[in-house]
Amino acid sequence: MEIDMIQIKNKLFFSFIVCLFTMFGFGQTEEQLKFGFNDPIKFKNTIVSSHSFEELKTFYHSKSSYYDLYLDTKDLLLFNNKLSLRMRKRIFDGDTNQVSYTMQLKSEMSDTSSLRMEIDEPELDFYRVKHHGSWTSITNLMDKLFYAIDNEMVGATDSISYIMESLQSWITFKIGAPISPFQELIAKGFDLNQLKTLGPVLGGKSIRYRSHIYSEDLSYQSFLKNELKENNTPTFFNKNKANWLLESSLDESRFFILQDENYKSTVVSEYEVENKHSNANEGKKALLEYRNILENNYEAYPKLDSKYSQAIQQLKLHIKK
Amino acid sequence: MNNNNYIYILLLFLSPHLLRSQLNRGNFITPKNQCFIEHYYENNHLILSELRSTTNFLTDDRVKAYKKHEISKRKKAFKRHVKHISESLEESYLKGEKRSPSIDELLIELEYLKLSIQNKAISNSVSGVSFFKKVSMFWNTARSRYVFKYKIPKKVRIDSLSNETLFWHDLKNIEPYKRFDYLAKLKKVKPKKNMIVLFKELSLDGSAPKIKTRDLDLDNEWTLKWGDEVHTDVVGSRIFAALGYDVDHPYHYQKEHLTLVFDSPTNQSVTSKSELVEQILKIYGVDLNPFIYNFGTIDDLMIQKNKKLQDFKGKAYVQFIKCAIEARPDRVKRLGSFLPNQLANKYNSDLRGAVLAHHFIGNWDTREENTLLTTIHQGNKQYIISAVFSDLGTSLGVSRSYLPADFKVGLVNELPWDVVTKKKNKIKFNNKINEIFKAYKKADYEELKVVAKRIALLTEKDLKEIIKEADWPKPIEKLYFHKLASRRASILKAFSIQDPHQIIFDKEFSYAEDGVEIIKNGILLLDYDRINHPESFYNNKGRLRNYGN
Repeated sequence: MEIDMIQIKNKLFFSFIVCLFTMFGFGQTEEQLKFGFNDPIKFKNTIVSSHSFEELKTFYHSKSSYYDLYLDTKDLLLFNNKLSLRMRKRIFDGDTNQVSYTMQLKSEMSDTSSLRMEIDEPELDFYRVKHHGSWTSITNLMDKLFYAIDNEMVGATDSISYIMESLQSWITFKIGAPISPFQELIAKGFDLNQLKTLGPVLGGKSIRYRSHIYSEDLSYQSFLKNELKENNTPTFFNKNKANWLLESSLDESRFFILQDENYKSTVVSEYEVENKHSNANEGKKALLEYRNILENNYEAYPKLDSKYSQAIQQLKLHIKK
Repeated sequence: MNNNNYIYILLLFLSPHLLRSQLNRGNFITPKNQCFIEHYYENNHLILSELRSTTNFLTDDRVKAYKKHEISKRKKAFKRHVKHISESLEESYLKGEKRSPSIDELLIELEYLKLSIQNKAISNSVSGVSFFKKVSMFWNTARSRYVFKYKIPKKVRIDSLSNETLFWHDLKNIEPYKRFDYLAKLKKVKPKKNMIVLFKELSLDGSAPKIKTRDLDLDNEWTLKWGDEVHTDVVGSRIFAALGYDVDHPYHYQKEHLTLVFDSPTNQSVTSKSELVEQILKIYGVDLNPFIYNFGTIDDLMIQKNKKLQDFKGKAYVQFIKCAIEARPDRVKRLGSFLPNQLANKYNSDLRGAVLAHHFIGNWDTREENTLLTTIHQGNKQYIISAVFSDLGTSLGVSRSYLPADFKVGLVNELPWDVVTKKKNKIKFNNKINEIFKAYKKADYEELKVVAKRIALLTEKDLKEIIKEADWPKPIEKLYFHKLASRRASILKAFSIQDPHQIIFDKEFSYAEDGVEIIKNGILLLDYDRINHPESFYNNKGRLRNYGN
């Protein structure tokens, strides 16, 4: 009996360790909370006006646009495994000369922890693919799809089909290549042949409103000073004597099923708040206090699912296998 | 077009180095090392799985060990460089391209990166110098005089100065003494006349006392060192750069010209002068007190003299009588060794010839640990890999003690006037080195003569400008000039090279100060100004005996 108990405990301990590694992977993790609102417009007005609450203040500092292509298999392998994989174009502050193209693999937030795995491939601009007989940058293909998304022309047209085929063939070829999200998927033990069938499933555009959340005047604030170095701290805090606690993003997004004749789409709105304090516990304290403010004043409710997961749940029935 | 435009265009044509702001990669592939990339090919076409095995090893952070030895964290810039190479090769694969010199070049570059990382993992797992290594160093030192003897061939091969390779860069359009600064500028190394550095962490590397610090820009870092290498490393590196080799970038500082600030006391292991002294003594056995010039907390008076100290008012600081800082620029990623004994580098003429540069400066510590493979970001996400001759401070007069174990560098009296002697049809070098790579052993007369011709191109101005950077006290500086000029002349004589810029030197050089003889007949007579030079240029007690302090 005693030996059985020891064996069971060992198995449980081993399983716990495996779960930890599965959850965290080998990439960056974030500590964050996510919210939805019954009245998202009211909350948006609060954010863009840099509203001050009693203990915590907000500062709206930038607006960015994102275009996303979410990749998955026809059987929604990643969605079913609580993962999302996207190819993203970000336009900083509306300046089309300040653009980045990345690929990100993320895990869903679990309800026991606000930590998420995130694996980035930070630059896509030097990857090339053969399209219509000539070689072009993968970002050119992405831009063509994003143009179609902007103009709501994502139906099953020839041009969209050609682009999707080229993207698909690039992904199929590149699955074993040194691209971080693909390396992570292989390390997680997914079947290589299944991964080779990954392709764009959803495309979308998001507008992101970013704000700092901070406390002022150290003599009144009930938070320890954030000891992050100056080069890791936004300019706002280097100029003002304020204590950076959290960073937030309010996203308004619209996602389309790609190559759908009926241009099926769905809207997702969410507000993410991330701990930025050098002392993790102190930041968590600020997160919870801010959560109380949002719940009490804006009827905020917690969201765990990623935008991808929310969009898929809303559009699942319409996605062709 | 007016006259000014013509002058401008003429200047552009006359100064090609102005147009070139990058190091040339040169060729890495040779007939001897091609065999190391054969495994990437089948029927002259790339094998994708072989290629990806290497590129994934180099970029996948999940691969944490090589043969159970921990791999150092892969920097973002390094991974980006590998991914760029990978993408070029994968595109060649998709296009069905056959084997070509350009594909070979990229593959051998990947091999260099892979083997250097693996070597680094193995060497990192060994702490200190093993007994076996010490025996090997002793043996190499002892046998150097038998190894570095060459017969003068009856018919000397006329070797042209070589094309650029991993080990050597053609900077002929830049005056030799300016090449060090040119390389520094490429790497965005920016020393200032008055430096402020921020304490980062203690260092456990090597035997010379040192710490790691950050630049005020917080992107770049500096290693801050004390002891007997603070002058010699400065000169040794600049001479190597003048001869076309890539080097580390050390700079000498004294007194109020460098301020070490402890800016983040809650996050640091050392927060004051006393803690610094305590830790350096603990790690290196060296008492830093004789090297301290000033310390305290930064006040308004200091800020008046240097406005950049404004942000650090009230923070603890230390200034040193003398020290050296060595750049760790963000643009340069340091990998492992440059593989002197691998990838057929024993056949590489540039590497072989470099042994003469070591002899010229009297360098002793030529261990593989003092060689470095680096990636340099040259802007616009373009990278080049370069072999760096690192830690050239164990030079310019070295004394070794075995009982007790110790060594001392920068002893001007220990530096012979001649590097090499010629007798009948043989030349013989008197410099001793502690690791003799196969390349150094195999170097032949002609390969050394190529480097001797580069040494011949050094002018009096080159030597004087380089020596000036060391900030030696005047008598020592002058004596070193005479000795280096003499050593240069001995090399030219041995290789029968007509001196294009004769430099007058005096083996009987004497120098007196205030009626006191400091140097007589080429010999330093006393322990000069010990207060301001606590490491001593005279007594042979080195770092392992606390410089005799």
